[in-house]
Amino acid sequence: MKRLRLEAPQLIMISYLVILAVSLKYIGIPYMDMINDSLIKWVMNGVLVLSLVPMINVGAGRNFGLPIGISAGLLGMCIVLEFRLEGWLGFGVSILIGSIIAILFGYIYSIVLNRLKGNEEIVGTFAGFSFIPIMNLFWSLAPFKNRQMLYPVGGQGLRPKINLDGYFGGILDNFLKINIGSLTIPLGLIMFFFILCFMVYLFQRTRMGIAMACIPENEAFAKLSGINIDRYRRIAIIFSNILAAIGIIVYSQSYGFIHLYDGPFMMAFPAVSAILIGGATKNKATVFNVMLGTYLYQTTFLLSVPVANALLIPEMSEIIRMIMTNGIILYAFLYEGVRKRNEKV
Amino acid sequence: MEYVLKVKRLSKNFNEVKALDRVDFDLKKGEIHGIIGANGSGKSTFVNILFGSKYIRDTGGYEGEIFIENKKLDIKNTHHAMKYGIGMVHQELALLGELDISSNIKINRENIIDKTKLLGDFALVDREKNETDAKKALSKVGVDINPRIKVKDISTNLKQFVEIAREIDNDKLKILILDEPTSSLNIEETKILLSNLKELANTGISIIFISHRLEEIVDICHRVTIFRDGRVVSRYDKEDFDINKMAMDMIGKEIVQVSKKRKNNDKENILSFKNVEVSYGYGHYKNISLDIKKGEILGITGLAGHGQEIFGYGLMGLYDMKGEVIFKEEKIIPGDMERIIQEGIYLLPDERKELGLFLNRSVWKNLVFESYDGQNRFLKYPALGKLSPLNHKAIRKYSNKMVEKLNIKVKDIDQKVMDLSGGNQQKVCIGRAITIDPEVLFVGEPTRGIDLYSKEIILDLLLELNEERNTTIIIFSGEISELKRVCDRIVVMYRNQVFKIFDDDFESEELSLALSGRSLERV
Repeated sequence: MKRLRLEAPQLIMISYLVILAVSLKYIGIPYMDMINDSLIKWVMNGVLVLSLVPMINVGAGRNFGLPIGISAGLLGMCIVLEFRLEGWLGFGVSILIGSIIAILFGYIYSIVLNRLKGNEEIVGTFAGFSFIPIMNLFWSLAPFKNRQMLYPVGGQGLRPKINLDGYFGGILDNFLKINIGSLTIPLGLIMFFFILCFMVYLFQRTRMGIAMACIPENEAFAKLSGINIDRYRRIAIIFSNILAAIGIIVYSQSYGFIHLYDGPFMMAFPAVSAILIGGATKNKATVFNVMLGTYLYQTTFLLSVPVANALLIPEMSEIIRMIMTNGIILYAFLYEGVRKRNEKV
Repeated sequence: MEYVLKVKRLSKNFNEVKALDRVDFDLKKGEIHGIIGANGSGKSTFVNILFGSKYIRDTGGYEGEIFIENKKLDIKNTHHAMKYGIGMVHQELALLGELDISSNIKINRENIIDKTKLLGDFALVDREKNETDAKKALSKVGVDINPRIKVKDISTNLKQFVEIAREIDNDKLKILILDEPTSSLNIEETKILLSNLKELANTGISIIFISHRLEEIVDICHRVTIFRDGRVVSRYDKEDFDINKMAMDMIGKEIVQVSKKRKNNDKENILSFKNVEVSYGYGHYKNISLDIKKGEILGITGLAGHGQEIFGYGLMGLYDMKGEVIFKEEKIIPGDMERIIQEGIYLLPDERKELGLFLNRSVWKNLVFESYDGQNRFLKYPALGKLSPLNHKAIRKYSNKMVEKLNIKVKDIDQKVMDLSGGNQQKVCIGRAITIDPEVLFVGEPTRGIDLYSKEIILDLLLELNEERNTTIIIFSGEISELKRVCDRIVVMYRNQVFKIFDDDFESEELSLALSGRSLERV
């Protein structure tokens, strides 16, 4: 974090952002609304992006298996709703239960990843994808009783989107909200995000965090120095999963709904894309990468929706979104390949 | 006699550092010309320029003139160099493991079946002719092996021969550059290689031979050029060879050889291997036993591939070891690294760069890495255990002190280990061992690839560690002359078994015989 170096992805994103911001003026959308929204979008997705950090730093790759951690958080929230816990109690207990389930899921996930070292990213992608149908089965068969969560017709199986109004929808968004003119700063939300970021930052400075960061560089040496690599990887993977569970809870309270079934399906890609824009590499990610990347990525989409809808066909924003998300990931892979080749000579 | 190669006023700068300073050099037809020098003296830079290395070009090219057969040439890249008839065998091997030996030797020069020649790049390769060619090239270096074996299945020593054969097979070859070709070979193989190189030179190929081993240089070279700090300091003809003078020229000062004052033995065992089984590569070996005594320096030697490293590597989980290992009357499980390190056993492996250092990290990080169990003061809040942040102030102070004490040549302690020379890297490794302060220290090939002067410093450091802290040190190495100087006992390994243990009669004929599995009684 000592030196701020912007590389191609950040520069492209920033210039794209500037273009969007200028064109907003012509469409007549007030800037203040956009800034207010961008702050919420930032934190809403930020924790999910943050959850990638421990796994990247231990050399287990960018966690394309994010849906596993997300499912833990979803399950936590559903259990809270079943017992009709409201407000802060509901929010807190969801995080608690979600984290406990994430430890369990993360443990199983780490067993898989530790057996397939070197291929974590592709394994993670498919582990995530195949985990979703399993959870779908669970959502439709689980014996939940709260009518607000069930399909209105038939009364069995959870509905795809569960409304959080009256539970803990927007609880962080509205906490310590500060209004300066028309600018609204969701201080509570941002503080919550910063506390999590600070925890991850502190963890990276600990003896264990430092040893973890050494593993991807020279695993054999780390092992010879008495580091139990599989255990450290397991801890990092579980840590990532807990953060992902918290991430989806923060996301859901902003969104106002719990999105089950195929909701988590495509959540890994935007998160990975965001952290890459922030300047993370395959084996090294910092909290700063997370904050910068998430803000750039989310704000770009926030702005591109009205602009694209006004200038082009309405569907355009979604198309741009896909192109950019996947394009950035592809770019990162290419970039790593080229750098690896240069290092060898 | 005609000159194949002439180099005039060759200079090369890396940023502000002068790696080569106006070097003049010439090479006659059929001559073996030795180049010697300490680490960082510019030998490698010199031959890399001749071979058109990309690294040279990327860092701004070279100055000066190069003539091959009296034609002035500009060597732009490796492809150029090969076209001019220059071949080079690097210290690091460059072979394709999945291909067989003949394909490796004939790569890019494959024989083509005549009838399919029209097809150009799609023509069929004549495997049989390739194999006969490969056999011929291998026989020139004195090796008889089936060229159909895959390269990944042969030993490192044989790979070295295959590399040389690949270059010899090129019929355009005029100049062969060998960079430390004997460093991974044992005595017998070295002999074979050297005598074959002599014959090769007789056929008219000129050889540039780089080595740290002066005896070899004196044995086969016609002339020797000595590099120091990027300059040619002297040149000797065969008649004037004098090992002591040459060594002086290399280092610029006299070398004092260290040796150990031997202590009385009969001490208790600190570490015992009892009938353990070890497997690595394709081999599986049983009934290996060894007792290591407290406070001794034990040398383990043997020819390459005979298992001098199995105790250290087996215990530390790099090889698969099973069986009873007793440390201070307690059983320990080989490969249980966390416990083994906590008990106070540590290994500095012979592959420093691969297994012993974080090349991309700073000197101080490498000096203190995971030494915190013994050095609580490096942790800010030791009570937090693994979750405690590091105490950077204490670490930096300590690292600066270590750098000074071990005489590690660095800009500052934040410099990356990658940028240090081999000798200084080894000092960093030993520095970490001192920081960790183990009771038993395994060291593999502590002086491999290190110049004469630094060698003595490193051996001295090990002796100091042994004397001051009574650390038990086990050195596994092929450098028998060094072991004889520093060890209390020497174990000779043969076919992955302890063949014989020598207490003090190191100079006896028996020790030399034992290396090849023979003993006096049986002769």
